[in-house]
Amino acid sequence: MNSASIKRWLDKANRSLFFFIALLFHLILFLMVATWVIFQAPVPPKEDFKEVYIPPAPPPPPPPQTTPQTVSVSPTAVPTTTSAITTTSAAASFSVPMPLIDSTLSPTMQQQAVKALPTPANALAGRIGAIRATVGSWRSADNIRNAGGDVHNLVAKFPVFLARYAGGDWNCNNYGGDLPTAGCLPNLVDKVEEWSQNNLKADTIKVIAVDSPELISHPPPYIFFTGHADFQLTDAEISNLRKYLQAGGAVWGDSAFAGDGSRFDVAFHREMKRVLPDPDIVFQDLPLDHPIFTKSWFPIDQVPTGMNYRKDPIQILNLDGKLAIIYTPNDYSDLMTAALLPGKDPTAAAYNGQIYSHPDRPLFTPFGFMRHSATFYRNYKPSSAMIADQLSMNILAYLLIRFDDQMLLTP
Amino acid sequence: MLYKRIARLLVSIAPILVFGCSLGSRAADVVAGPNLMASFNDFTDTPLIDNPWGGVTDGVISLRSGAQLAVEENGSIKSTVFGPSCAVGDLNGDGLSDLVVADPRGYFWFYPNSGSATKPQFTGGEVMPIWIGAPVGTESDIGMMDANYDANDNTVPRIQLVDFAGDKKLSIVAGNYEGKLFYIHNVGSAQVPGFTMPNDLSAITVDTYSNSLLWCNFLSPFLYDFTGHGQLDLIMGEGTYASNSIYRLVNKGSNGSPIFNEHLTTKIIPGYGREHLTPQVVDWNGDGKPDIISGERLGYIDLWLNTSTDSDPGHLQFDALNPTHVKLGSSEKFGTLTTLAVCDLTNNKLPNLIVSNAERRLSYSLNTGRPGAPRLDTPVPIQGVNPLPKIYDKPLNWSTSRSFNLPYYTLCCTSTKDDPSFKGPDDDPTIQSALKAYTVPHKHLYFPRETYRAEDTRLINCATSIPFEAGTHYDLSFWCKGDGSITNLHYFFYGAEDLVKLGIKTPKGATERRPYVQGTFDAGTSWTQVKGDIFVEKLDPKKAEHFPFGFHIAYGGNGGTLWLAGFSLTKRAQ
Repeated sequence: MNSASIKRWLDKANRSLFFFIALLFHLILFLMVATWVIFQAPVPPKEDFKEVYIPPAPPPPPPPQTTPQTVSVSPTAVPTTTSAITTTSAAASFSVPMPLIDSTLSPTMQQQAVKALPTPANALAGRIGAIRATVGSWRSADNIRNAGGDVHNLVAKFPVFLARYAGGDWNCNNYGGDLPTAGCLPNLVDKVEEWSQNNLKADTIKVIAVDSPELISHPPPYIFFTGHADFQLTDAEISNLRKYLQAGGAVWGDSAFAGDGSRFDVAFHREMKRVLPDPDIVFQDLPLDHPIFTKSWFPIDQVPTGMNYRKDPIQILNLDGKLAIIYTPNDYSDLMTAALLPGKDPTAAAYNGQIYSHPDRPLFTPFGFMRHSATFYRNYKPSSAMIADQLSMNILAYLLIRFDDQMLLTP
Repeated sequence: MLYKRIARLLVSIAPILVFGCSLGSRAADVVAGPNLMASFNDFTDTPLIDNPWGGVTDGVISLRSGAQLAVEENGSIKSTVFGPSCAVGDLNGDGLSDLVVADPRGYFWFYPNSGSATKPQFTGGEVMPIWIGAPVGTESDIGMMDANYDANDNTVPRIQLVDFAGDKKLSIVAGNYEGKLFYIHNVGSAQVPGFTMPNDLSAITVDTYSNSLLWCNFLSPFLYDFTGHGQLDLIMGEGTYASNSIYRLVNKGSNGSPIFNEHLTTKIIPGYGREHLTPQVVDWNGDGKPDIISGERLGYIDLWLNTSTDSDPGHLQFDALNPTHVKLGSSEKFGTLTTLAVCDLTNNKLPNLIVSNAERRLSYSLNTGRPGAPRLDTPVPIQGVNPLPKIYDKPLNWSTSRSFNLPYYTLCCTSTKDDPSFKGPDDDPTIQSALKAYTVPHKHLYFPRETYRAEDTRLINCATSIPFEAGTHYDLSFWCKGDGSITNLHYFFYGAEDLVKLGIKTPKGATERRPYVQGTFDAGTSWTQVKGDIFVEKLDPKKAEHFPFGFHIAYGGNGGTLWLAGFSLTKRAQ
């Protein structure tokens, strides 16, 4: 075949619509197959990792006294209607000193700076078997042994559960019924899988009743509570949650009304104290040097600003010195409803060595958020959503790895 | 042969047959269909009502209603009817407490007190030249797709009268739905208040957050000197999509040019579920310390007593969880979205209350207790006398809209019943009544009338849904008359743009795709019949055969009066 005939055939092919369609089809097929992860590459242990004996933690100090600025919420206060503000306990005095007007820190930040968490207790021995089983349902024994306490070495597969609890509007910010396909949790899973390069994967995203046995049989790293309204858990929900927490689970509550003092805020504090009624177990502000901020996936140096620019302190409640309940009052779940396309965030370069140049950008935004973004949903934007996602990934990673030191100590 | 003759006969009579058919067809053309607007033509037998621009309805002070989007208990955002906000003070220097009331639509009203020191008396209200919605006269006023559109209309102001400029005159501090804070200086005298609006509202806007961020909604301000040193700090309630609280913003600037931001902000009372808080500061129990009293969404009046024992008078301490529900008479709940004003209209030297709610009225609750032990009576609506003549209400199908800041614009019915000089068109003696759109002539005692401009469009809407048939001509006809100052008149038949795209034949024969049919007309000083040919061509065969259309008339001009009557829309036979 001479060059003229080759050229003629090429010209003919070039003019053919069918040729281009076929070419496009094959190209798409090629890209699909080429990017298909057939099996997960093993994550080698870090070269500098050495298995060492970690001495037991020192005995815990007495629980911290509640500072005057903390408004204590009665654990027995149970609202009867959505309209009434139920306060059956003794009056909680709310003393407000004059703000330090020369300070450059907001009062909430000052509050955080002076607070310290108690040293973790080493009282997990009685629960370590159940905890090992729980953690083992997410991660292999090798990964627990070899991760070295570094979240970047995590390889885990876990369920993601949205809590369906009695009384409240638990299903806000997630869409798709019992198997949410859009909204804050599906979006978070997308980002987690992307940022971890699929080392962290969700095996399911579903709504689960808080009193469901599945919470124990197929435990998630955390069960996610959100809502706007007051609520009251049933005894069965309380009991099941307590069992789950003792087995190494965690509760993450996020108020869909940003800022402390909302109906959900009051109810969440009250109901979680019903779950863990020990008076020595109290909610505390999460300090900015906590591993969630400093040693997890993304370094975060201040409480991320939530909806309507609220940035009240994140709070945690420890059980035997280990985080059991984390509460974010700033409505990150609303921000996380913004689905973001694969990230090109500069901060992501810190751990995977790639050069990124663009921030994440929105893929889909619920109409209501667009409609009211200038009035009711202020600070609803891709950059805020991304930081909320990053904090969420930090929380998830920390919860996946927080028992590693303890498990390495025990056979 | 016979066939040929028959054929010749047919050929010869063919023109006659064709002419005959043509005549028959023309005879069918002149038969008009029924009047599709017949049910919108009745301008008689509507009730006689108080003119809403008098500020008094049924003998009590009553403001125009207004709704704005608000967050409900379950987090959903819905249109919610709000009530007015009231402030009390002597604005005209006669020693009597007057009322300034901001209605939810955004109009500020002045009710001068014409009674005595112990027995207040009010007539009607006068609209003040204050508007804290969108800038006037810009496209954003009517930019329906503007994300801030909701904030432009029905601004739901919350107000206080206070001398922040130190010039011995009461000025106005106002918050609005958007969460903006305004310091509106009284530039008049001690006897005649005066307020002017700058072209740029930022000139009177005070930031409450760094970088001018708006971080709350339904801002309810109250300035108070907590330290006794003359420094006015800001107490602020809110109705944000967030936990609602009461904040104290310490003023780092001067009283006239305050500086507030989040670093100077303290949450003094977390709402714990109480929302749309409207706080005021008053020494309720006579202990010399400032207490906080506030209305809220559910209709309670919450009282937080200051329990501070600190020697610093600026130190505040409240039992945030356990406010007292103040009882007025035997009741402790007053409708929804309560606002209040602590005042002394009756000169009893005690904290009395004016309360209002979504029902639009102001009610006075007299304190019959003693200093330190208030006892509030059942609130009684504050009476007034409407200075404007009553009007015959417009029919239910008809309504008006206008540029947000234009008051006194009214649509009503008129006939020989209320206006003996009314006379319909000579050519149609059946018309004995009409719609009347006009700017209320009002004797303004304190504030000049707003100036209407030609570009300030007003609309007269007919809430109908006329099913146009594609490919059909319709004949529109109505009568109109103006007073010489009405300009730029248009009629529109408009469809739902997102449902149908219509092909409209323009006068030049071209076809445009647009969701409305438009025509222009003039209104002279005598009755004129307006006629229009309405034709809708369907371009998309997949669309329905019938298109529901509404109808409205738009016009401009400096005030003026427009009469409309005899609306007729008939389908033209094919």
